[in-house]
Amino acid sequence: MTEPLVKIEHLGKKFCRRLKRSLWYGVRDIGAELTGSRKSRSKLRKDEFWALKDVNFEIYKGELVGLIGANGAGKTTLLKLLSGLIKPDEGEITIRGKIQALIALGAGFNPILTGRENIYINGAVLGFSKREMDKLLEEIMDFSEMSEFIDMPVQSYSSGMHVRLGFAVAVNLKPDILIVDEVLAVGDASFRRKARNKMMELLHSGISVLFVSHNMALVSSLTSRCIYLDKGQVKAVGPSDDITSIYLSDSIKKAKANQKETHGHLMHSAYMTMPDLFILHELRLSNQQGVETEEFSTFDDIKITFVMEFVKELENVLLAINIRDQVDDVVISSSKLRLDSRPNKGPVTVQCNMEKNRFREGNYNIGFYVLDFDGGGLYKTHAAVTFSIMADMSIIKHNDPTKGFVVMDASWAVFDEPGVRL
Amino acid sequence: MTESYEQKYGDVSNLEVTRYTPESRIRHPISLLKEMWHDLKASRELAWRLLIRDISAQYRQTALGYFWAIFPPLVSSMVFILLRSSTMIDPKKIGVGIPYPAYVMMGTTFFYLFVDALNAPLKVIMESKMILTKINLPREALILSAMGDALFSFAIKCILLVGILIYYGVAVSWTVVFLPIPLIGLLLMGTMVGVLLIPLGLLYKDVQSALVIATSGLIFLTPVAYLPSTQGTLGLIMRANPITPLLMGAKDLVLRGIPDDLPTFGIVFGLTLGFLFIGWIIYRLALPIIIERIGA
Repeated sequence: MTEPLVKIEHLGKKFCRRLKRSLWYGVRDIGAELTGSRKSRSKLRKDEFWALKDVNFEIYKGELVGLIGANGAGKTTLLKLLSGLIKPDEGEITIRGKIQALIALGAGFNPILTGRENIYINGAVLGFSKREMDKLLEEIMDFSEMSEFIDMPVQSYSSGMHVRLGFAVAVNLKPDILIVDEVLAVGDASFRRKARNKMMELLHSGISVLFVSHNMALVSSLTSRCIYLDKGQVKAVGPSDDITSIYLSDSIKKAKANQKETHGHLMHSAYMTMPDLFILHELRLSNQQGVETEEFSTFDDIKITFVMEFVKELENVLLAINIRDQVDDVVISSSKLRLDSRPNKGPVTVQCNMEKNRFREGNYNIGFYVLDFDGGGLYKTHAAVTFSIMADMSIIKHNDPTKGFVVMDASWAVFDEPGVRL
Repeated sequence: MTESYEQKYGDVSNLEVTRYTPESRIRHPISLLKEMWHDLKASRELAWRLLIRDISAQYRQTALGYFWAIFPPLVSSMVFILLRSSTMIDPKKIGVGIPYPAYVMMGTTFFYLFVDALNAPLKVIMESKMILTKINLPREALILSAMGDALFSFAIKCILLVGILIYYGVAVSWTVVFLPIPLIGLLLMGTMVGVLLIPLGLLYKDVQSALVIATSGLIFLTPVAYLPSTQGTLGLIMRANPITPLLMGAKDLVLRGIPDDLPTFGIVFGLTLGFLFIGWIIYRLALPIIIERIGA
């Protein structure tokens, strides 16, 4: 059996909630470190908590492993431990080969210096000599498509250029293990595709990638195995498709629990926002049976009902909705309706009916916008109400509801001879 | 699966193994020393790059550029020259037959080598906080580049100093060839104190503020612009001040010849090296703990 490139055993790391106390613990820890004290660090001191506890997993050569978990689950802490930035309090990490962590792309860039100068510095940080970097420079410039900007100071780069250059430097320095943290979520579509292809190419050449992302569709399509961190512990490890569905259904549950708590508040704030323009009395979702719900199956009808009362007189007001998925990408946008706002006429009811929805499994936010005739925004809210889609496998044919952005009924047929159906 | 896997990617046993455990590295002194040596070697390229970066970035965004390097000793020298002209400083105590401005400029230039070396480590670390908390780099590089910063600023001051010495026609002793020894001593001593202050200085901002006040007071407790006085509290402080033998040694080598008190010089130099090494170990061991506290 081959040894894994990354082996994590019973890893634990604690943090302190209060800064002052944390600094003081720091002083004491340095003291303990210098005297070589063998005192166990397994006990929590006042105000401390386990950011990671008893984490175990392995990554083998040529493997692309996903790391998922909600914010604060301990992903970044884990990455920092892996790159040797901070020391574990418990357990052990064994790493074979050179590790390259993209915790923050271009973190080492100095804004005053040019792209070229920064490339050399980044290379030197990772232990490359000037001569080695001379050879790599061409590749880096090509890959980042930055040749013409390479002698400009980095502070004049756009954020996309920053990311492109950072990614190009990192992947061209040929690590054995690459940690990619939410990189493929930035940059334009064509660069994202390129970055993704490059990652695949690196995998085939035998490096290992730990891919950290909130985008489950991307995780399940890229990675074969996945680690799900929850509150500092490994909740599940296994095939990515299984693990991402566990994560999704967990986050749906969590969102629902949150919504129950904040529901009243959310709606309340929605109709309080524009007292001089309109009052939103109600915003509710219902299915084809007319039952009020925030939980739908794929292909259900989703009916959005607004009950609102205008305060200000306006002509040709436009109502619009945006539906965003959990990574905040707009899935659909709709703005059909124009109406005149007539104050003091009592509440109006507006309905938007989405027949046979094509959303895939997950949580969605409905953003609600009121625009004036010229398209100027009078009122905006990104998440007026939330709903979730549970995939009903029995009615979706030839389709994996955890992948892609929308669900479709596809029909397949195999033909033996032209025109003859089997 | 395993077979095809090995065929495809080959053996991994030739890869370098890194292990992170909670145990203190000080329990394995031999491997700690090996790591320190390894990282020091690995630091050179990076230190050089950082130095070039710092120097060019630092002076690119200033209007007066390199003038800032000679500004502090120039101001201090002016103060001493004014003090003397108002007979606050007894010219006899200088004891050297060279024009006072040249003498003062030399003293302050040497003294500021110590001061720059003292301030540079914490300054470089503070400026590199972003990289330091995001990328695992050989951390020795930051100290090396801090020493480079101090040396660079000293080199600029030296140009001015040489100009002044030539202008006043100061005769220089042949022993000036040994001048690098006390200068390295001053550089290392400053670096030593600076490195020892890093762990606390990174956790508490108080250290940096205190450092500014301390160095501005220190110039009066060090025989920069005159010979060390032999009486009173000030004399006692000056003789106890570890900078004195190095600074006086440097001045002697330029103006008079071999310093009288070579043993003290040797002891101070040796202690500097020893404490610098201890400071290095503390720095290495403390940094991961500090990064954890400041880097969230």
